[in-house]
Amino acid sequence: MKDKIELLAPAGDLERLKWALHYGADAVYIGGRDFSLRANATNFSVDEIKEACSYAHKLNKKVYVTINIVFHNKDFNNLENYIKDLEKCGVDAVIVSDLGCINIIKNVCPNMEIHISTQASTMNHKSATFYKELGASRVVLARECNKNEIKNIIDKTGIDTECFIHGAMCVGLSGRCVLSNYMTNRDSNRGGCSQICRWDFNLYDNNLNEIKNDTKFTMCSKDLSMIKYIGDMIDIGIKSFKIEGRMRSIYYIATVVNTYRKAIDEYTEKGTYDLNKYQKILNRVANRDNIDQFFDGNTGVEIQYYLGRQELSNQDFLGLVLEYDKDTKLATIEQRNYFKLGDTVEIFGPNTEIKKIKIEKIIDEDNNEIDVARHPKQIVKIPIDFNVNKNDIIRVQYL
Amino acid sequence: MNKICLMPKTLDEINLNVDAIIIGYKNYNSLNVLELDINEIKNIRKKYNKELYISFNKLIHDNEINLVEEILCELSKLDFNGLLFDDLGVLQLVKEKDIDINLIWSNTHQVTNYSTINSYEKYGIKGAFISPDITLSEIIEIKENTNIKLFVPLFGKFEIFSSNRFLLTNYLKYINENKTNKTYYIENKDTKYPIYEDINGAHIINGNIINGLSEYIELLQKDIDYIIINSYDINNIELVVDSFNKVRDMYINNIADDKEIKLLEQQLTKDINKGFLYTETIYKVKSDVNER
Repeated sequence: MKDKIELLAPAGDLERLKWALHYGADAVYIGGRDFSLRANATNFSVDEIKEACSYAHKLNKKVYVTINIVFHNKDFNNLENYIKDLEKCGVDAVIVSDLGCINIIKNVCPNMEIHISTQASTMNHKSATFYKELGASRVVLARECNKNEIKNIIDKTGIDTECFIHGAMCVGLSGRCVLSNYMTNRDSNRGGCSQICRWDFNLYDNNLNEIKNDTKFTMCSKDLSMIKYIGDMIDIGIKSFKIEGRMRSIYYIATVVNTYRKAIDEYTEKGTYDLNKYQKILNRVANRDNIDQFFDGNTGVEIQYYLGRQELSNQDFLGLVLEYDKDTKLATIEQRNYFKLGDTVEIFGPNTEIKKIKIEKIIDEDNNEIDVARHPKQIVKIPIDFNVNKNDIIRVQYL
Repeated sequence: MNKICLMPKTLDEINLNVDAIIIGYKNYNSLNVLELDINEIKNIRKKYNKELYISFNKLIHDNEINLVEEILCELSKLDFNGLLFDDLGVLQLVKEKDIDINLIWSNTHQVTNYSTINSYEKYGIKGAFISPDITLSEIIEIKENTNIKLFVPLFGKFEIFSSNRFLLTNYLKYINENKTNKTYYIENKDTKYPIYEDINGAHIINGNIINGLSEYIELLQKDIDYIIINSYDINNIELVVDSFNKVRDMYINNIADDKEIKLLEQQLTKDINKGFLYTETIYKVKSDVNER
């Protein structure tokens, strides 16, 4: 029997947090209004952090709070009080990289669990040992680690490790990129990154002659997807699988979390999982190509993204189940994108396997039959002849 | 007594009138500075009567750790002044094996506050290479609240990005071009930023020369230990070094003259760019930015 793997999901606000936990995450990571590297996300007030912890703990799940900025002198001003507030909220761990911050946490809240952020760019067992001796219980490894390195770090230190499995990648070594600071005055190490790595640039040679090409130079990376390697990652002993994306939509979070949940559980139980299906789902919900990046030692052209800013808004999310009447077999749906009579759609949820249905009827709130659900958040009823649950998702059929 | 520390780009530049030099340890350095192997470094040590700091500040992969341990032990036999490091694996090895080396914390962009520097001091580090991305008042506040040696970058083009990705090689391969140069340039708002690759990946350097000559007096008044001049891409490095020496002499002899210093400063660079010395970065761009 393998150790239970933690599926760790991002949550930019309370709504996303609930969706992530509901759809299968064992834990979520969030940022407060200060000290977090997503300074422009909604983030959580202290009261909201308390509510988040209460909600998660009732489900026997966990909440981690990031305090992972690179501190300037004045940034320490309210840190002690904030850490004490987090302890009172019942936060399960803080994710940090700054050594000064770690020492403050150990002084004011010695029982607070400390996880070392990927910002520390830990890539070897000696630095992992340093953090373990410092009192950290977990290290989020650098995304540049390959499989052998990860295994060696786990084998030699015994410290819990957490690795990213899905989402956007930093192109530079974490914490060692200030392109945003120099090109836009926005501080990448304090949460203001303007993602210069996704820009296009004119490239010049040594003599300042432009390298002209239809494809301009960019540093942009494909997103990470480790769906192919879930088995490997479980087998080498990674404790926590982390999804990136605190600013992602609820549809994205639900889909990605649900997919990895199923893959992890299937592999843990049977030693195999439906890779083709899960890969198809993840590719569909992505807005950029994805690949396993450094895990297999790949540093070549395949990990870069040269197709330009073709990020399209995903229109697959059609509706949300609000309730289901078993007697009438009618599901009440909140529309999220246009759908019409005759469409074949898919429904899935944390406890609902993916199933197809054909929309045979759409009934509006005045009990009129209509052809199409066209208005955002319109409430309609559709017949479904199997049980569905509140917060199940209806999407475009593509499997 | 303040010292002038040079990051040279050639061996000849070590002859310049500076008190200290930083040399990169070949393949283990992440600064844009001259890199040498152990034997070349030993020759430097014998030949020049200057303080010698060795930059060993790249992030270390697990399969390099055994070799890193060997290198550190070898370096401990060399009489030099300090090892610039970033990876905490280096600190752990020095601690575990009791290696006799002075460590200087040199994470290029995270040496930004005194609280963290003081935390590192508890682990025995002897100095810190201040990030070029903080303000002059922050630097002074750090000096006022720390006890270890501070190295303050004050002139030149410093690194602003490093990656384990081979960004140039990959791009040129994608567009079916050969990589024929070591250094290329990317352009943003009329500024060209050098980008090059080494064995570890890609690096991007600031396209503007930071010229802090007129801030040197204030740093001297505050007893800053070292100021750093980076010679990378600088054509008039002798003039630069002479100018800093002149200003220091003015200060020592109590004849510092702002106008004269400004004139000297203007001779060094076409534009006077102060980097972040007087500019704070922002990170909240919504309406609540003022709440902080």
